[in-house]
Amino acid sequence: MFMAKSELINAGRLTRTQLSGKKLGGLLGFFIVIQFFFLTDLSAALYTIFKENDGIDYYQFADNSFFWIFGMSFAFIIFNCMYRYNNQNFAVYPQTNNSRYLSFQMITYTYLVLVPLTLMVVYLIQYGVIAAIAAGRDNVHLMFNFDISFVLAGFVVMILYMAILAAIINLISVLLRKFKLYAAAFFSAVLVLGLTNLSVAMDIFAMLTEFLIYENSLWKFILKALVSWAILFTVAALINKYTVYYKTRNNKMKSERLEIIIAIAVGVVLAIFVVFAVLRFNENLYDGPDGGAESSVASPDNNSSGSSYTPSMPPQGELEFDISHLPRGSNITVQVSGDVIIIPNSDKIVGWGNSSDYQFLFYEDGTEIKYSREQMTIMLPSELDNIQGDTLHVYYSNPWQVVDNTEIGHLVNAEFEARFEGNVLYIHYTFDKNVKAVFMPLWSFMWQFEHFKGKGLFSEDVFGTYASSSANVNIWISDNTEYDGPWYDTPTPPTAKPLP
Amino acid sequence: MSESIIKTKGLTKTYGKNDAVNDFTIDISGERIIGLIGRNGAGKTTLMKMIAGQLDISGGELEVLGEAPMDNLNVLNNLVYTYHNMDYEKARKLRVILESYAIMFDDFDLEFATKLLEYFGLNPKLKYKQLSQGMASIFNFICGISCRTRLVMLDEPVLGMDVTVRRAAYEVLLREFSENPRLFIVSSHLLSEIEGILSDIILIDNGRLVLFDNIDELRESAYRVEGEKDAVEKFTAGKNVVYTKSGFSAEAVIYEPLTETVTSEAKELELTISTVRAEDICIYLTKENKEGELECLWQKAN
Repeated sequence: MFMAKSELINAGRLTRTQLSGKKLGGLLGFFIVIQFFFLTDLSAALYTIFKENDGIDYYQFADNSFFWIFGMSFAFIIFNCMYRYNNQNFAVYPQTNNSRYLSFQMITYTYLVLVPLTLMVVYLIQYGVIAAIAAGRDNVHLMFNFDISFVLAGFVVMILYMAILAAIINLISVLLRKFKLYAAAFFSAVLVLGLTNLSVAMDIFAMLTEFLIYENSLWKFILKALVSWAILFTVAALINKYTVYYKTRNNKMKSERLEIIIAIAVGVVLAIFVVFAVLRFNENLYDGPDGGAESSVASPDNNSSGSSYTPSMPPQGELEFDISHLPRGSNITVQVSGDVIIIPNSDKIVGWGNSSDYQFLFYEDGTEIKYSREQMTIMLPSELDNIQGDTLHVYYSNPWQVVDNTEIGHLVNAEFEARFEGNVLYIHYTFDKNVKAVFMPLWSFMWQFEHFKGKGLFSEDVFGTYASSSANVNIWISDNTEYDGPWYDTPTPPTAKPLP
Repeated sequence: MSESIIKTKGLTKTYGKNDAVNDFTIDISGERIIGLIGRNGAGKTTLMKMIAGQLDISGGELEVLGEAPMDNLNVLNNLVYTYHNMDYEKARKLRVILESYAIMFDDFDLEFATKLLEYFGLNPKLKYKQLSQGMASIFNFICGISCRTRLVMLDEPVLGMDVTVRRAAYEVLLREFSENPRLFIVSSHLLSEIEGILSDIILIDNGRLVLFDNIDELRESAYRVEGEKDAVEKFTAGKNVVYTKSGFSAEAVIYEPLTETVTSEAKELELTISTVRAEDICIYLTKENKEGELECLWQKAN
């Protein structure tokens, strides 16, 4: 319909010719950039894995799919702006308007496929390396499951996303080449209208995008995306077929520059719109049509991520001991052992802080206590004097840490034990040290598909939820919760006494 | 009669209000080396680009190998058009560019091109941007001549080359033509240098065809007379004079074949007759009448 067989062959040759010189140039630079990301990420992950620590440590690999989608959009804009300049460099070779255009498309789509392909290969290598390490070390955990169908589906979806973006940019470019100043004026007007009525423009854009490609079902998405792409591609090809412009550039450089400016402006606005559309979809997914997602930062006291995927609160427990046999006013001794940090003189604490691995308490005399999130803290007198109640309640919370919507605190296998014998309360707590959690996300955009949800393949909230709380224990006595007694009087925790 | 390779009728190319090529009619066939001669801006490049399908025509008719060349692979696969400062990607190596020619043209002789690179002392590993103007001209000449297409058009191929290399290039062109005869069109504004290898000449001026003739016939198409001013004036009356000069003696160039009658007439008037170089004929045919204009450049305004 569009071209003869000879033109197809010619387009293939022209593509080979144009790509042949780029082997050591553009492609090498392109791969160096990707390898840079790859090596930096893997090096940092290995450093985290092999660095000893007292609790749990995690490393998140970067998922660059969004970055590359937008990065390549700008690359496509530049390709299109350089269409005629590029033609000039290959004008000597036999070609037609159609074969030249098809060749340009083939080069564009070669790069387009190359990006997700490279990302996928890099992911498989990275996953292989970490999985091999995890197989030989019990303390290394890969937090997202591996599923080859997910990897391949994401590869296809990314290609489709990029193909649609490329087709839109190409259509705009073809219109600018065909209608020159008229098209430039039209797109400028649309831009101005869009920017002056931003919310309306974004609504329209989001509706259009949602109608075109947004779909929970993978197969429906593929169908919609393919149809959308085919329409855009066909329209652009038809317009190009009936556009007469020469292999060689003429001296109408002013209009060419204007086209470039308009194309870049449209591209920038398009990218902004896409970002907002993506965020809007995400809000709709979790919060209904009204949106209104709250803060993604959660804390044990204020766990308000607004996401339905927020993991449960810290694992807690309560132990009860009958102390009715003890005479009123008697004393109970507390003996701790294992990984318990006693926080003495809590009334003298003047500040606190935290780093990625540790938390700190600062006392008014300048001393400080440092403890990991996984160590259990107890903030009590060394003896409970003058007991008035009948039941001793021991409340405890194990360490809890949510990274990118995934709870990793349980990986330390925290074990809490409390026993009451005579008038002594024995508390024992242990956990695994030097535990590593590795997050290796891929294809972040896949949250839109129901099929892959709930399988631990990726973070199911584009915002990501981060929260944590330390392990701690509290003791209360029922009926009459009065007790008093000497506090530990030194900031340095006493040596834990072993359980008998 | 052999098949037309280039055939135009009233061919026109306009840029705005300017006619780059105007009402150009020609019919070229056969295997030969034709010189396309004209002054700067005469329309040589525009004409060649239209023939090469790189520019659309504004009016008239243009057929190359029996078809319109624009967007026509039947035609474009059978012709090549190179010029002295071709646009390639600057970072491309010469070897890669030659390989590209081999991909795009079935009739490109890569081995021959590689040998020519060596002959002219060009390193195939050099990048195109590293070439001087002369080296770039040589390289583009090699690319064009190595295409064994039915039509080869070389636009100002020797620009920037030193005299030794220019002569070598002409020798190569002539030898290649004898080994693989086809139609070559070589454009230049200096006929004297290529005159020796041409079989025909197309003279273009202000976008119009001035003449399309065999080079030998061109040489015989004009003659020069010199002598007393009155005698020269008497002799040239009614003749097609394309150049005159007067001082102590006078001379004139008449663009007409030299006949025995004319020779006798000149003898009677005691005038000397001599031949005119082909290049001079072209100059006289395309030179606007600016007699007296040169002198006025040094005259003081009153």
